[in-house]
Amino acid sequence: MRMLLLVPLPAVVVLMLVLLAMLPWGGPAWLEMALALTALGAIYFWSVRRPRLLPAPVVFVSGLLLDVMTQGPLGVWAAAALIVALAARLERQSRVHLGMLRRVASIAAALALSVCVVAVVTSLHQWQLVALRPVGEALIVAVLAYPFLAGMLSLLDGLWPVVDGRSLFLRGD
Amino acid sequence: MTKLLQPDIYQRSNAWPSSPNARRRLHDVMIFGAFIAVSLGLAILDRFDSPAAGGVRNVMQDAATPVLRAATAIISPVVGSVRSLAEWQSLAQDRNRLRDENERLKSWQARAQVLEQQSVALAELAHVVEEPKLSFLTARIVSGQGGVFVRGALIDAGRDHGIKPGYPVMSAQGLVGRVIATGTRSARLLLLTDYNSRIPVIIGKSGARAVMQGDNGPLPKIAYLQPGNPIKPGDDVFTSGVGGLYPRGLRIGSVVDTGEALYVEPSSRLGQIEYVSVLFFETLAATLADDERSTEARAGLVKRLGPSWPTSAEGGIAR
Repeated sequence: MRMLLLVPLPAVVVLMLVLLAMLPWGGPAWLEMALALTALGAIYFWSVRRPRLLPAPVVFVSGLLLDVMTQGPLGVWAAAALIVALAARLERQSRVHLGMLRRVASIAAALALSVCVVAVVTSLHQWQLVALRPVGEALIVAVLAYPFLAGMLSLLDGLWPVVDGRSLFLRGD
Repeated sequence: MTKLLQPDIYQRSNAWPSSPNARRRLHDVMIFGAFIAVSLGLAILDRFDSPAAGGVRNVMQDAATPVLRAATAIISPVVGSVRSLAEWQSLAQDRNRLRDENERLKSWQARAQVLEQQSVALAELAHVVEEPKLSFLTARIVSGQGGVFVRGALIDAGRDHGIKPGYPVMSAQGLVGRVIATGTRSARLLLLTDYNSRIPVIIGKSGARAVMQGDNGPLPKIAYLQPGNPIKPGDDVFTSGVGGLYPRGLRIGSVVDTGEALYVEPSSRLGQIEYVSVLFFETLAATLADDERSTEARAGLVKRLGPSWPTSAEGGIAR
């Protein structure tokens, strides 16, 4: 029963953060993008910790929801979310040796790459260079918020049962 | 577990990597790469207004709208409380400003009543064709404004409620934008601050004509202003009705001068609106499209039913 509740947890957490990013908070323009990047931060976290529970179709649908709700070109946030998830999966083995600072640097690099993809594709789609300052502000806020997000998600990650000294579904086992 | 801590080693001699970790990596790259390609393909389809991309968008929009409506209803009191706290400090200033404004408006009210009577009398004398009264529908905004690249919003009413693309959207304070796409129970709005928004306007007492263009910032710019028209900061800006996209005379905001250029400060607080009204205003483009469709339908029927079917000159299909 516990496992039935825990298996969809990463997907549910990501979808909840996507939903939060879509709501009309009424803040400055960068706030909505920072919230969207926070959802990508959660995708990064779960792709490192429990990649089997966050497969590509779930990441794709989460990104597509962001696309639809941010009124932007369809597929742009989906591509960004998939890039973050792929980056997390590719580096998840070397990550166990990384210190906190380098972990933050690696999430910053993944989010920066995804933001570049969003900015370039949106610029090509609208045939106009998008404003880069609010994008940079949103990126900084999302990177600074990541340690807090990771701390909270780690609490949820600790809920998984440990069998034979190993937490189930850890790192793709 | 110790296996997972070991570094991956690709055996370059083989075409397929032999290490399980390397195989897993290749598998991830292939699966995620395929999905990234699909995403970018969707972006290309969307760029060329493909019906498939529009269909995906409408289906997801309609599916998410009830969830968003419920979530918005939950967060609204929280956001409202935070906003009230932020506005608490300026309450005294606002009270004095509103008192002054009220005094000014009372004198204007009396003048407006006299002018309205004169206008009605003149219209009767000149046999002016009466402008049709617009009906409207009020809906809730259920999404954010789209971040930094697009200025749009989603409302919880769509085709089922009679909403069509092109309909203007107002708040209690003034124009907000227009409907650009409709799902069955949701519709997408293009806000007047969006880069793609261009609205013909008239400004101030002189009635200077210009085009207001959005740039994704908070203040849309005034462009193509007729030379020789003195306009100054604080002048009111209204829709001119030129082009037939908007009815004439909808209030938009007032002119502000930043020193570099003239901008319009929208009278609607676009970031804080909860409800908007959609005006059932048939744009010129929609009317022409309807005419074109009915002409095509008529031609199709004539082809199928033979020459005995009445041609357009004889009346034809009732719309």
